Amino acid sequence: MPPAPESSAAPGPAGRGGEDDGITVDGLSMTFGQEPAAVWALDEVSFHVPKGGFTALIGPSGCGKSTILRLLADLLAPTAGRVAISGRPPSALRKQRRIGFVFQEHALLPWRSVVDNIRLPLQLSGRAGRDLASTVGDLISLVGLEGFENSKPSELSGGMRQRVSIARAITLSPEVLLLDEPFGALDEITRQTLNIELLRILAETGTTAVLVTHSLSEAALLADEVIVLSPRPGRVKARIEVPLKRPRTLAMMKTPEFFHTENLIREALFGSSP
Amino acid sequence: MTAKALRRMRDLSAPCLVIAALVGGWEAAHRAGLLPNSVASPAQIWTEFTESYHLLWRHARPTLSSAVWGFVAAALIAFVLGLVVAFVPELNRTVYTSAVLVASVPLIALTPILVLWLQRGAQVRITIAAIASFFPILIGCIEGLRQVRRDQAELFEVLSAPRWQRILRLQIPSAVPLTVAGLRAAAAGAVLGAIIAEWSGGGGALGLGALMSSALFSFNVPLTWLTITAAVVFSVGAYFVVMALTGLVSRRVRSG
Ligand SMILES: Nc1ncnc2c1ncn2[C@@H]1O[C@H](COP(=O)(O)OP(=O)(O)OP(=O)(O)O)[C@@H](O)[C@H]1O
Ligand SMILES: [Mg+2]
Repeated sequence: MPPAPESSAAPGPAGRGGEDDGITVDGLSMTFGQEPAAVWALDEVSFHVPKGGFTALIGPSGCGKSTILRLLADLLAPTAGRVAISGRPPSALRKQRRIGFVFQEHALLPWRSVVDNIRLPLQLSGRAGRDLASTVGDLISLVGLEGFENSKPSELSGGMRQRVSIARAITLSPEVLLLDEPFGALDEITRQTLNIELLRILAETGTTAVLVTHSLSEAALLADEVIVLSPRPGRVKARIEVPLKRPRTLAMMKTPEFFHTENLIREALFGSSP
Repeated sequence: MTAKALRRMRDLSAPCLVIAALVGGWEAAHRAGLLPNSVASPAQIWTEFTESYHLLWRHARPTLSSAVWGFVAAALIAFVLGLVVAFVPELNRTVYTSAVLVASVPLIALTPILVLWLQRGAQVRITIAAIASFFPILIGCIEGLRQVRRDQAELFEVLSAPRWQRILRLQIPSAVPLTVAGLRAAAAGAVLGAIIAEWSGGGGALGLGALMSSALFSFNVPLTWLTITAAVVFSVGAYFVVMALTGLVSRRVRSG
């Protein structure tokens, strides 16, 4: 694995850039179904992710984290409120295939090999052809899967499957990358390795990222800003800036700043009682 | 390799024992005079087989080929209809309702009507075999094409995949297991359909069904039971042949 390069496109601290850059979520509310069986999933959620920034969403199960990502990806339409990505509605970006999505259960197609899974977005966008082979080859080495090009997903470990899933999500160089608990099913060691690799990939590509996670340490290690949500309906309970510099390293997990951030998230989630 | 062979033998030994016990019990019941005259014993059926297997084979051949062609035709029509429904989901109810209607028509009554329309011959046997095996294949196709994992469907949506791409690259591969199940469920139906057509005179004097009815109406009990046994063996055989073929295909399409 090559070391993380000092890239000028590295995600900057939150707050950089204007309103039209990055992702703006404004008063987003979502209700599923009709009364009397309606489910009120989100209530007036607002946040902003600067261009190239990294925001983590954390909160108890069922508080609407996946719903927020689906709204950002134009897989759902909000009941109220507005989403803008670089000043445009998500539907415009989705039609241009500028959104990358990493699913919780990797969502790889089991009948396709690693290369063919990564190739899928190129095929769907009608961009199959000359530069295709080199793009896919670059992606494979970017996520460190050389030698497994022709393996089927069932022959890979959980961590390798998520690498394929990440490679597939960035095949078309998306403007935003949405990750729904991508490492939730992995062990701690694999998870931390992939955390650092994800940061390296994002730094190389300058992509804006929103990550849903259940892990306090993952949120603190990866994000510029952590948004803590409360359930039923989902509301923004707290916003926590992460004071760690970039590029992040696993060694930072031993610093007081890291512990402090983790504790702030914990308090926001569970209250200050022990 | 040997472990695998051993496991195979163990898997096969249970059904073999059951069949052996049934045949043994049947033979014993017959010797004890517990069965009516109209039931031949396994020994009698075997003797009949050794004497008239030429006759049996001459009649079985057209039956089997009708079953195969009927099955193939049913599968092709079901695949096409399944794809039509995948492209135009609004047609789902119409296709389902028509398929239920077709599957509910009594084949015995349909044969004479088809004979009037198409003349006696292979075309009638093939049509009846196709109708008899059509429904499970169609249900397998339609349901299989709908059986898409939510996150995989969302992936195609995030990537703005056009409908034909979604059908080709997601729905068809996802449909393989249920389509295969439908094909397997329909295999025996094709053989039985061809026999029904022959039984009710749709195929002329040749065919397992024709042999069965002529044996029955001339009170030839052993020959009747030989044809019944042959029908069972061919139906079960059809199931296993389809299982082997589809096993090959689905391993190739989705090793996952
Ligand atoms: N399509 C839907 N129809 C009806 N209700 C839905 C739908 N999708 C989500 N919900 C409801 O909205 C709420 C939020 O769901 P969501 O999946 O966004 O939660 P989550 O925070 O991602 O939970 P988890 O951490 O368990 O993944 C839940 O109460 C859920 O039941
Ligand atoms: Mg979720």
